[in-house]
Amino acid sequence: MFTTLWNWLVNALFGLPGAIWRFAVGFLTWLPGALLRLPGWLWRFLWINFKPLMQILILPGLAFILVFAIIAVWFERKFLARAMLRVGPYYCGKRAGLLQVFADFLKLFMKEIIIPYDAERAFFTMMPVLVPTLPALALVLIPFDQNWVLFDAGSLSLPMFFAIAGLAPLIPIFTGWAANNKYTAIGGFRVAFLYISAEIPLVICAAAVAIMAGSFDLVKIVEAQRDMWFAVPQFIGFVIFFLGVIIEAERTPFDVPTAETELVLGWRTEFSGILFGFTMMAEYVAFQAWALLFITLYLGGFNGPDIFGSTMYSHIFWLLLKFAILVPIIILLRCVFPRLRLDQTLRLGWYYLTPLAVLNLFIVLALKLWGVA
Amino acid sequence: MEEETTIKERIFERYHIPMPIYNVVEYIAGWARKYSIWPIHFVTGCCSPEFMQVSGSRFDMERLGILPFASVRQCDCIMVVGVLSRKMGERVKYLYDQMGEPKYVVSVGACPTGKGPFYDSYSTVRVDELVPVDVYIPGCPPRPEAIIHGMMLLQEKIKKEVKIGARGG
Repeated sequence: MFTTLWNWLVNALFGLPGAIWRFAVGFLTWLPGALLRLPGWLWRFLWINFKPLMQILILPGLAFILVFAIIAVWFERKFLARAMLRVGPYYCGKRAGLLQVFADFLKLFMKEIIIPYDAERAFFTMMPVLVPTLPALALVLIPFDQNWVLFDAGSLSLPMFFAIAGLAPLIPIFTGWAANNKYTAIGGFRVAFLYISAEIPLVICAAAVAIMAGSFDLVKIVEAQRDMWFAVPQFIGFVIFFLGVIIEAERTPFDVPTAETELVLGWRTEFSGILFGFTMMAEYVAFQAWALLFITLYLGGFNGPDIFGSTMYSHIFWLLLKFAILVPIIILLRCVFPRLRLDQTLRLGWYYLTPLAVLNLFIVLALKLWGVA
Repeated sequence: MEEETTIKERIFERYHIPMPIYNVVEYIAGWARKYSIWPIHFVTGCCSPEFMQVSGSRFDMERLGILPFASVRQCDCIMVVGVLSRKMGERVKYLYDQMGEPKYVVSVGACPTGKGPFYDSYSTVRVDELVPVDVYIPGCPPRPEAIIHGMMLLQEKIKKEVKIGARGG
């Protein structure tokens, strides 16, 4: 027994450095490979188990919205400045004013929030938070791939998009009423006017697209455009929808609700601090949702040649590329055109866009009847 | 003799915020406020052509992050440009009260600073009789470079003010 104990003690004492050494070598040879494999493993784990959560957090969701808003605001300020032969934000951040948006956001975040005495308190504080929510809700229906649709509503997805987006003008109306100020009230009603005049031609155009694709399902609409984008046979609808996107996003040729020279800031007048920041973000979220729907309906959606080997990633890449080309074109309009008056915008919507949309619908019906499309 | 306590020390005593966190927040707040001054132009006089230049292509004030805005609610800074009669002075006070903290006032040109050529009129007021002024920009009218220099002085002042916790800290 004594010898056994002695042998064990000797082995333990003299074997310990070797054991530690072997363990260290093994651990150090295992570690780099494990670290290399960890992101992929984590990604696969999250992808398999939490796919909707990942989509909410990353692609049609939070990160996409925030990154787009940050880049778009910065790009817009620099681009407009270049168009006016200025430099734009320059000193904030080391290079080209890259951190300007962060500075603005932080300042708004730390600023005093003023609630007017006459305002409807609950509505006034809740509504700005709700404003970006509805366009963000519409964003879940956009297909980035056959397998990358956050909420696959099937054949209801196109009507559902219009249903959600049709609720959007209610919030500016409520805020305009709740702030108890004549500028905000007029701004809110102008939003309603504008949305009604734009949404009818948009719905007719979307109906034409659905007839040509034979389905209300956005994924099937995109798949029907594999050979030819719908912008080619439905050029009138393409132009109408382009104008409609700008009207719905309240971009500059049609930014009647926030007309600075007539209504101070439209329905946003009374908001200060971060509440104002939310309303500004809402503009970009709506812009994003409508621009993505426009690409999905007319510019071939996620269709494109496989370049990454994986179909899904190249589909996402093509959709984002089209988006990145479309957005500067819409921003460019801001430094080219002056603002239309309210009656001019409404006349455009009712007298020109609606009859042209009906004409477009008949053209599509004729093409379908003769079996061309 | 009683030692003077700064506002910063009083904030420490009251809220027990750890020093490193306070320093980081203070640095970020100063940086953000410094580079994101949104002024509203209270223009009553003929310095306004200089203002158009300042926002225009040659002297581009947006390089410093200064973005003119339409409504006082969202603004940080009110730039009083041109002569103030007693009646307009009331409006300056009213607009100043509508702004959220932290707020700054810049007096541009000779008229709001010291009544300018109308020094002996019965109805003119200086802007600092009505609201606290942060930066005075002299000149009749001040050149665009002078206005930009004044805004840069305001930026330095904002940075220092946040550091000593003087306002909106």
